[in-house]
Amino acid sequence: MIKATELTKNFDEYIALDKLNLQIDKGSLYGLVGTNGSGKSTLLRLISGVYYPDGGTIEIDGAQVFENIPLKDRVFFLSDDLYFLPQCTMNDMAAFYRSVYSGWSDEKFKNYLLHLPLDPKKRISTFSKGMKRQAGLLFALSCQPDVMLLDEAFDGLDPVVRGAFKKVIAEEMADREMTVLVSSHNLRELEDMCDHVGVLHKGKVMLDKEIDELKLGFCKVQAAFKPMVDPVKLEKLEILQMDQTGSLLNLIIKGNRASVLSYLQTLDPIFCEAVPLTLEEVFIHEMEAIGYDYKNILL
Amino acid sequence: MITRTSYYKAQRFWGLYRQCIRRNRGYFVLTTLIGILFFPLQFFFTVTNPRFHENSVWLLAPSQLHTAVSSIIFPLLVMLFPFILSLMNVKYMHNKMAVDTYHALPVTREALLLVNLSATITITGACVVINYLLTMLLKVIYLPGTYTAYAVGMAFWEIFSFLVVQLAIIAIVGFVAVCVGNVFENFVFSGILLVFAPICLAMTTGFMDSYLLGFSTESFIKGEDILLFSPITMLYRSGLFESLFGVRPISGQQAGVPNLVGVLIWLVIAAALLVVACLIYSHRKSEAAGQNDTKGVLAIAIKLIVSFIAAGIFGAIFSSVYDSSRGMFVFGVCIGTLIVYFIAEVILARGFKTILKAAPIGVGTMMLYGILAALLVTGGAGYQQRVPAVDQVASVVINYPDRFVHGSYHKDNYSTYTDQSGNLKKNYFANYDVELTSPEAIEIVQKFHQSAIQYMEPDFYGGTYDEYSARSTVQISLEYRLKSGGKLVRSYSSIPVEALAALMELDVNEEYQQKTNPIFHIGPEDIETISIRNRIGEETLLLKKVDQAFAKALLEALRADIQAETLSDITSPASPDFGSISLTLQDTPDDNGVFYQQAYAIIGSGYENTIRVLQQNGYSDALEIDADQVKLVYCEYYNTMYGRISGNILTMFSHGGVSEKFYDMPAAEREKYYRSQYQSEKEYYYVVESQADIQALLSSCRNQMDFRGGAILCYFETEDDMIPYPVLLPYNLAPASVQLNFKDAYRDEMGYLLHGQSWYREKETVTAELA
Repeated sequence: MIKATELTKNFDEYIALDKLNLQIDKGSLYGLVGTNGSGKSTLLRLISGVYYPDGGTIEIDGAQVFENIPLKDRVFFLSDDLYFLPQCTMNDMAAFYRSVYSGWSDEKFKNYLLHLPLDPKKRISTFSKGMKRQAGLLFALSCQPDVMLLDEAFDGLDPVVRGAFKKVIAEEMADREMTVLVSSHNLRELEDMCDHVGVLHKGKVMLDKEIDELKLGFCKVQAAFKPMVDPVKLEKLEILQMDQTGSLLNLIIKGNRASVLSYLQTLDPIFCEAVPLTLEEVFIHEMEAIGYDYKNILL
Repeated sequence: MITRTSYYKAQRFWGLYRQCIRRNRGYFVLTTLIGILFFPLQFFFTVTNPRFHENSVWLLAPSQLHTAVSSIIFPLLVMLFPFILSLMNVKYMHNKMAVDTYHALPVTREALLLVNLSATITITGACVVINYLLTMLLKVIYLPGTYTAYAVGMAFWEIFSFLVVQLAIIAIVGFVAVCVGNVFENFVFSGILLVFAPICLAMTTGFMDSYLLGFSTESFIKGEDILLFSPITMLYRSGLFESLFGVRPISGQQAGVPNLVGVLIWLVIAAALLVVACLIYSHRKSEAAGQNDTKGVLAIAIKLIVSFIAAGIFGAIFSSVYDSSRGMFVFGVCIGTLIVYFIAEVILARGFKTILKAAPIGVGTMMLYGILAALLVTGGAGYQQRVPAVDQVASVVINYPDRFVHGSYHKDNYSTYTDQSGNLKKNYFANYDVELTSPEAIEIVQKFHQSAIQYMEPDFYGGTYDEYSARSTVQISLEYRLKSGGKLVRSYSSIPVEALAALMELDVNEEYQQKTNPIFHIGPEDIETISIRNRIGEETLLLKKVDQAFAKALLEALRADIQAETLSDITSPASPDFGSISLTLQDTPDDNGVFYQQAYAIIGSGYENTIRVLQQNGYSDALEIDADQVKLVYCEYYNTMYGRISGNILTMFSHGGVSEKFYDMPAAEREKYYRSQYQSEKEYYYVVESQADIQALLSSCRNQMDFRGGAILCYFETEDDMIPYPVLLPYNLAPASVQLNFKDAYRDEMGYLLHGQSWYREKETVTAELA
């Protein structure tokens, strides 16, 4: 379990993390979203032991991370700005990680290589941006960490490779109860893989919930009325957003899906059906519900 | 017990170490090849050069492996390689992306740093070792049979010294790396830290030498020891390449042997720096990577250092442009500090944004350096004037040699050199220091000290003299050991003749005589030969087998006569001396390890005891002169304007004899030789051939005198062509013809003694005074 308590990090005058509290359960895949400068990367660096906190604590399984070598042996941090040793090949980097991570698996490294278009004898500096990302993820997975911290790790990956990595990560999580923390400024990227999401804004966690729990509290409905239903009758629903196109209404309503549909059926629609909510739509309304303008925080 | 954790710790360390070595193997190959080009290959070219076997090309360094080229280039490469490689290997901590990778690894930061630095010393050290081994192999192949155990040992000692220097450089780079945020600062700060100490120290002591009368760098720190303050200059201080760089070895050390203390000190410093670097690194903020630092302790220290050096340079320039003006020196220091401090600030901050914030420290630094400079040029807050009272002084050590320049030697105070046959030779250093404890002797020294200040301070102007008066070439160092336990050390050079006169009293001071004159220390068994010269400088007796009873009696007689001597007996003998005695002594150290090589005495008219002993042993004839034998006398005016003054009392031993070659010359050549050897102006030499004048000279000459009345050196040439020592002729006792010839020289001399270099302006006054 990763636990941040009153975690603070300053860069001179700038407060990157401001008494942040966060808990990430073991075996979960936590998505961390926030705008540039919200503190995502700083939080990941603190969890990985790259930074030392200026206040508060950051712990993994109850132990401080900074310079805790046995603990860091179980953590892999893949930075947004990838770094490879100068002039090195995939094999050189593999040898490098093999020498420091006790969990390194040559078998997995070779196995992953078989499925990726990466030449292990070619200099990494000649790789494209996407290939470098693939290489970084490959090294991270080959180290078999208990905690994998991925900072914007899927940027630049094509959908096929991205899907493949997500699948591998899911398998690793299932096999070894690996905890994964993925940061991104793109909610859509995290939507189909995370089971938990946190929103960072100005160094604080604005929202921290399970995705299912988030989605269960909202429902999106498309309904057609002819004639148009009296708006007064809709006031009984807790409507968060309503768009009307001719006789078609698009509604986002806070509440249980079944009871909402049941009520709308009583208003005699031409048709009425629930449609899936995107994570972004949930966030917009969840954040508005707690008093923030979502558009100022994300996207 | 090896735990799983410690096992992985060690495994990770060596794993990363191997990685680092592998990564740098290209650098290793390149540097080794460059090393081969400038060391083993140079050796090969030299030993296969036909001139080498004609002994016109030599091998250098104690190992006898270096050539002229390799001894300059190879050490530079040896220092450059670790500097570059260590910068390359620690640059990861100055790169944000690399820091994310490295600092997230399950490796302590100390281990990370040590891995990279260990790999650096391994690679650069291997380059040194391989190059040495290759050269040693070449020596075995091309110079078989010339390899001595000493040279092999020295080769390994040189390797060790080089490795220590490399380690020190690497440690400094590593230390700076953990303190700064980018490679540029690491490069610049490390470079400055590597060399600043000897520069600042030499500059400070140099200015103190120039502006503070009585201060001498040598009394503060030995010049060559300043080189120990940097691993780079230490390499040259260590004596590795002294044959090229002329570095004097330390007393008791063998010449050409690297200085063990210096090497070990830097080994300890390097280890300490690495420990400190590890401690700092373990707390270093990763976010410092890529940052500029203008406020950190190291950045401020660097700004202070560069502005200090600039202050000195500007001070010297401004001062020299304005006739060694002390005020301009202070002004230059202030300007230099200010300019360079702010230039450094702008460079470190990569812009002008911080310049206002830096202004208070910059101005403060300027004021600090300005005040220090002002204190320096105004006498060091009473430093120049301080002379302790006699009752405050427990003893005083002075390096004043007596009129015979008797020096003592210590068995451990020598240097060695290897002659062409490869044999080690010893060269002992003479010691003229004497510690005086009697109030009478201390008072003489104290009076001299006051006199030196009185005569020297008014003219002491930016380290030079405005009106250059008659000065000696003597440098006198004083060390008062005070009853309070403190010390007061002063040193004076170019001492005015009048100030130096105060020290003549020491020549007849009982304590001084007994402590400096070998005659009071040696026994008859120490005497190897006895040479007796008559008063015209002819060696008339040389005893190679010395009778012990005679020697004992002679020593006792000499001691009694020396103690009975008065100052006027030495400085202006009323009647001619009888002659002189010189003793060559065996190098047998006493219980304190001290020994003497020579002893001299002038047998003055009052030396009754000595004369009696000589008569009793049948040697008194040796003091006789045969006037008829004298063919001619070369006279040379003793001109102090040529910087000859090494003491106020001249003796016949002050100038040594004329070379044998001189007497082999045809008479026509002698004059040419004489002119070129001694003086260019005819008025400064004169040949006396008339028997009347020769007789007059014989009765007027002395073997010792105070030169200030005007002195003429006389070389008596006899029928038997014996090589004489020059004896002394006081100007006022010289025959009229000789006086006439040296009239102008005498006027010049007196003018110079009375009025210094300004005497030309006083020419008429001087002429009138002398008339």
